[in-house]
Amino acid sequence: MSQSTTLSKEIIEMWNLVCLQHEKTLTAFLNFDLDLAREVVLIEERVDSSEQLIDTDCAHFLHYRLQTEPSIPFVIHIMKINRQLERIGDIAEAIVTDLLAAEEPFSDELVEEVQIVDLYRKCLRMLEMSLDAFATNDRTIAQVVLSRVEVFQDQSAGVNVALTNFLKLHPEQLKPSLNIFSIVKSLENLVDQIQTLAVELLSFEQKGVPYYTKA
Amino acid sequence: MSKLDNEITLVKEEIITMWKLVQSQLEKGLSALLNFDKDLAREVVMIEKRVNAAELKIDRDCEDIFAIYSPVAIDLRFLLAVLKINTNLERMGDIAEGIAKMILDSKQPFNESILDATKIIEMYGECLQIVEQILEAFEKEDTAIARGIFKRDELLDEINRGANDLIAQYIKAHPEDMDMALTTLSIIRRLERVGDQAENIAEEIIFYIEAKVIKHAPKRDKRAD
Repeated sequence: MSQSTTLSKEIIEMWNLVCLQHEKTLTAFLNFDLDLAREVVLIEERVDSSEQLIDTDCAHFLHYRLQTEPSIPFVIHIMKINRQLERIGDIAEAIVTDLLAAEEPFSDELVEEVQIVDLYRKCLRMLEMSLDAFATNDRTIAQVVLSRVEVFQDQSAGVNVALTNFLKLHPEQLKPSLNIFSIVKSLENLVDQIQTLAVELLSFEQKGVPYYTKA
Repeated sequence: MSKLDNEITLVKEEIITMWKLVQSQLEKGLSALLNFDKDLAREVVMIEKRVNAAELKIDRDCEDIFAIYSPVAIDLRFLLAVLKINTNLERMGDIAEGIAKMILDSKQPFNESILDATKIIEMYGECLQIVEQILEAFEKEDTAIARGIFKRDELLDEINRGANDLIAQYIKAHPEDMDMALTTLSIIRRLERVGDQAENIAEEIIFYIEAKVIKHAPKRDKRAD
């Protein structure tokens, strides 16, 4: 197996782990499952370990460049993706921290008003698509991710107004509303990181060399 | 001085220039917030392109050094640290731009009572000092100065943790200022991320000077190390 493929496989594993973290976080939110939320916090250590392992491998390849591959631009590309994925993992932890701080499940009306489940599902889809773009070396998928980022940003821009209107009718829901607002801010941060990932995928040009070839 | 040493010195100068640009962006953001200066906020948004361009240039220069000189030991660690510091600084630049855009979208100035109640100005001031301190740590290659960041970041985390309750109290007293309160909370969240980026940079400085990885270690261990 080529060194490039080894690095690609490692980064895809990390990508899958981070996607799973966010899927669990959404499930924990939907079901107000605090045990699952705690699990996400514990598994965050695995994400951190994966990041360090990949970093070490990249440093190793840069140090011992005995062959022409993996190329330096490719190794640096992997390091950047690695960094982004670790940040994306941190965001899952931040969201479950807000969930764990909630005193009771969020009301259906509040969840509906802010459209938070739809927003989170959009984020998950973009994250999965960015992985597909990397694994299949398909720029068009990365381009679609960027267009979806814009759609998300337009939708999340309406959250302030939605919350303000909701709180006028339900002032007793102030604390959970602010909690959900924090989660929306985390989702916006998540989308920023996904956007950076997509831009990195589009910026990297390694003509004729697929990111990932099956052994 | 060897050619490699020259190249590394140049990269160091480039990253310091970028650092000062990002510092300036954050300072302008604070000024724009205090004075509700939309022209200054617009300037921050426009200058963000220069931060992004600087990041790309530094990345390319590091790649060239790897390709031509095959650096080892501390030089290799330095370049790896620079690559990561580069992305951290670019993220800080994004945060400054994000704050500027929120100021541009605000319909009215942020009143003094909300700025006082949430301690946002104190938080912003602390962010600026943290960025200054890690730059000093980098320039002087001083890990003790870098470690000083971890405790300072705790203040940012503390203000961030308390922000929801403070904002809730403010909204109860001033329901007519709900929109401004939510925007203030958004800015606080972003400032907390500046602290996180600064912490990451401090870890990279310690790594390249001491070859010691402290990333992901608990904060008390980072401070005591």
